[in-house]
Amino acid sequence: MMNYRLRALMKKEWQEAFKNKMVLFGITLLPLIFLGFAVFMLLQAKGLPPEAPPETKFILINQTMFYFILLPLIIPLSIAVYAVTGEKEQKSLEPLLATPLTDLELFAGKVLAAAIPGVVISWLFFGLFLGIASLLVTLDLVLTVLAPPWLVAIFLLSPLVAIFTVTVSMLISSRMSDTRAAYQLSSFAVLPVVIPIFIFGLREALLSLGLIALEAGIVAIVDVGTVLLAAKLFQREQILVRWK
Amino acid sequence: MIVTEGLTRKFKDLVAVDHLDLEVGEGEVFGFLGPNGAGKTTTVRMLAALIAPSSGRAVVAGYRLGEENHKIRQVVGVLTESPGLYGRLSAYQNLDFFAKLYGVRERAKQVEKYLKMLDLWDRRDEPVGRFSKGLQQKVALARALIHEPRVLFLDEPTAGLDPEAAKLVRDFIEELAEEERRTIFLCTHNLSEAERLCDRIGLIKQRLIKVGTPEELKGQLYGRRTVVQLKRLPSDLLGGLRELPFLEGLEADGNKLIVSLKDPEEENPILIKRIVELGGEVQWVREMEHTLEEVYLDLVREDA
Ligand SMILES: Nc1ncnc2c1ncn2[C@@H]1O[C@H](COP(=O)(O)OP(=O)(O)O)[C@@H](O)[C@H]1O
Ligand SMILES: [Mg+2]
Repeated sequence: MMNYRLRALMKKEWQEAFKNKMVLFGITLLPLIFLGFAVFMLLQAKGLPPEAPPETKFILINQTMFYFILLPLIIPLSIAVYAVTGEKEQKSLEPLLATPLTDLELFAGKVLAAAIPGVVISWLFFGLFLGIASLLVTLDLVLTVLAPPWLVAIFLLSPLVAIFTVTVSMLISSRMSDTRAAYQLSSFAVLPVVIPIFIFGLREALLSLGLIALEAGIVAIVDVGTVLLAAKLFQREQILVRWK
Repeated sequence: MIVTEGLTRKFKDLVAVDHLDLEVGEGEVFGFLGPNGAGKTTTVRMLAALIAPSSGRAVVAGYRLGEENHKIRQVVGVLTESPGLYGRLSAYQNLDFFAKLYGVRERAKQVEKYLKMLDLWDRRDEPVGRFSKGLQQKVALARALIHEPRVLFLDEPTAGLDPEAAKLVRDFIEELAEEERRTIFLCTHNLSEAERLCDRIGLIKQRLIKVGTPEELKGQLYGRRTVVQLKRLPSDLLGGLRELPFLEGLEADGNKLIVSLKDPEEENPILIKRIVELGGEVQWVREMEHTLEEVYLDLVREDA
């Protein structure tokens, strides 16, 4: 399915991105910090006095999901922003567009190169979290995390959120020349996606499958829009004539 | 190799390239000469299938522009106005990436060939962001060549380089030009560069003003001019010289005479002799060199 040009572009994106401090911070330190928060909440849940209502425990644990939805939202940000502003700053788009790379390959390559690390790294840290949780707390608590709402959140909502982040920040970056400004604006633009999760976490004793699925559905629909919009911007003519 | 018919590109109300009719043969080095904003880059972008013409047609390397763009991109190489390299990546990584995009067979060999040809092999693993402008331009040239394009577009390849680097790049282009089947389309605003490298030159300012070999263009434009520097200008000298039958033009600029002649090799000796007879003390004689501005301004004036 992936042709050689698409693969070449993705590899190039990664070679470049992983030499960028902002990106490196986003894919290593940030997940570690989040993992730290998540484990901290786990410890709090464990340290609750026995007379505390059992829901409190679940609420604390469910709150940690917030971090794992935040990760696929934040990790791709810096990669996606740089994938656009980096090319603009280096004026490397024109030689790139002079090659047989198709407009669609260019767009898909950039999207995938940013979204894949976001999803994979957040899964990785979710795995780490599960590992740590099984050492620290009782099995029944760990199992709440492996229940359908969580699984849908991690394996369906996460990738959708990553795509949202990537397309939105690519759209914003294509309009802006300054990497830092593009990064900041993109960060604000993508945040609304996690607010529902945060609120569910506070309100619901148990995150419900319905709510997570609803959010996934909404993000999926929004994704279709942003993907179409961004794909339209990623055409040679547009890039060379309109982009600033 | 390149044929255009009425090729036009507008940006809103601005006509950047206006009804370009051009023919460039296989193996030819064609100079596209014009000042900033003349439409050179826009023309290259159209011919390399990067942006679409507003109207008109073109065939590049046998493929029709607009219908076979993907094939055109596969067989042309473009050296863009700025090198546009990935500064964090090494020279090797930069070239390898483009070799992949073009689907180059025996990639490693090809990358090695160009890195060696351009004396970059020893520095292949350094990030190109650390390279001097001249070296970066070399990497960019290698990148444009990595898939052995049949048509090579060079957009102001020496602009912004120091004279030494510019010479290196020019020498390399000269080498390339010797390869028989490679067609080179060279944009420049540097007349001497065009003169040295190109078989034919097209002068452009939105419209194609004139096309010809460098000699044809210069001959057509001026006849040629001789500059004579005198110690001082005797008062009756100008009048006396005007009687020379072959004189096409005569101007005095301080103690300097600027004389237009058809055939300076034959006529200069007579001219000098006459000056001496009329009491002029000659300090220097040289052929006047024409800058692009002169050629260009003259042509535009002629054109208007
Ligand atoms: N993307 C664009 N939008 C609007 N005008 C443009 C654009 N690109 C080029 N132009 C205009 O077209 C004209 C020709 O530009 P260009 O082809 O870059 O000239 P040259 O390469 O000869 O310096 C200029 O007046 C320039 O301002
Ligand atoms: Mg130009």
